[in-house]
Amino acid sequence: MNYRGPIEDGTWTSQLEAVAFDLGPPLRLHGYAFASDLLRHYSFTEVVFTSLIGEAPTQAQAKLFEVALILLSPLTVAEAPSHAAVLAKLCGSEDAGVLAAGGVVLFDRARVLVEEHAELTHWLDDPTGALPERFLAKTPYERELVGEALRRFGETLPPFATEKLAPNALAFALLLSLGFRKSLALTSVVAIASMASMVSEALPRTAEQRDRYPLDVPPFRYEEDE
Amino acid sequence: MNKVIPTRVGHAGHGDNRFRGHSVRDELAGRAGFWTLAVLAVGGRMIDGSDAVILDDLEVCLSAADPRIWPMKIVRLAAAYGSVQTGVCAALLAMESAAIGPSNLRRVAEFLTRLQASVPEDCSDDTFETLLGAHLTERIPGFGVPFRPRDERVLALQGCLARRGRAEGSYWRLAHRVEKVLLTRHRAPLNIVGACGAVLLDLAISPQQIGSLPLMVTNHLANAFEGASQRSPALQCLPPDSILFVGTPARRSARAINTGET
Repeated sequence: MNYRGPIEDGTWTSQLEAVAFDLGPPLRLHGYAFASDLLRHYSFTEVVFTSLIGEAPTQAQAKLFEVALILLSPLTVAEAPSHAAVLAKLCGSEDAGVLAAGGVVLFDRARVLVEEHAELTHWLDDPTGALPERFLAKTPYERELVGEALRRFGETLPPFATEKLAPNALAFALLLSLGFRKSLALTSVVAIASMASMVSEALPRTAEQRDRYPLDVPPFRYEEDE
Repeated sequence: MNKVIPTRVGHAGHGDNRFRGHSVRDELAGRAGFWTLAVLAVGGRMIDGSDAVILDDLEVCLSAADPRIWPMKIVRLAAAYGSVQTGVCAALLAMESAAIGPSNLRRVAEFLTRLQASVPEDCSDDTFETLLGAHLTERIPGFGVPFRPRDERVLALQGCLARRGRAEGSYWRLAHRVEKVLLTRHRAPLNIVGACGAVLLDLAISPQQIGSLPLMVTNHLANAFEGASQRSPALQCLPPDSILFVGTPARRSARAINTGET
């Protein structure tokens, strides 16, 4: 049958535009030769930075990006992405299913974290102003994490990086100061940073361990109208 | 200490399960169909068979499964490595917040609800147009049809509703009244999303519930099923002559320059 419709009768471009990778040869990312330049001179973290910002980082930028990634990386089994990935593994899901189940939650969590830290953009324009309460470190663990980051990287950190900041707030402030202003780039950094943590919880589980899963945690109570 | 999470969705019992306040064995089995359960699932009322067939009509009229249409192409790309569910899920996730497609159902339903609350049904066409103008501060979802003068799916749905004697719902009439104005002003006819929003409101389903119904899933499923079976190499990776590079021209990094490499 020879059906016709708007697509047959329309005029369409025949090529998909590439903006990051030039297929080459040689393969290039944002203009940099992948093999003879990026592979030779940059770490994986720095190539990720290059992908998302469009420019290869300086040593100082790379260090700040590294700090942000480390601060954003912890993700325990208590949190929904890891929990979902563990459950998928216990259900006997194949690898892609485990990653997909945890991954979509991971991306959604990243989206929410980015939304919650949007106000930091305004604060960074004038970091001498009062920091909203929710961006302050609250627990001893948070203060320890930020304190350790300041001790290790203090010399390279911008002046706004103080021990008052919560770890995530410090990470987002660093990313924003590095030029990560688009929410998609920020969201992907958060997801990239915590992906391995999520997998680490699911990795050792097997379907045979399903009876070790606490089925009623957290507890649900079914309700219906009388 | 874990706080108890209330749920009104379901309970696994001995010999029977509860679903949204109903016994699966004694009340739902053999009586309720897919759409009755779907509306119950999003907290709606227990619709009867005559309402459920309207939802069947919607799903059928929504059929536009051409794999070249943007959301369907997402399905095909996601299913290209052989997974049906990846295809379906990718499309659902991508379209949840998209500017086109069923993600606008909730917005159009909210618009029609607001409009109906502020416009007397028996007002003149001139008054209606004036009152509608106050709501036209931004692009109204549900109106406007790309690449063709009318949405063929709306015409199909209109025929179904007429045959079933269900073309007189207040929101359906309101949507057509809006269309009359927007056709003149912006050449923007009612599209299938707007039509669905009106029909679902006439079924007393709320905008929030409307936005959560699994409409168009059969389009996704058809493409995911075929796409997963084909595992098309051209979708897994387009041939090089299909790509046009428009990004940053070739350059050397600062580190490469500092090493004196050529």
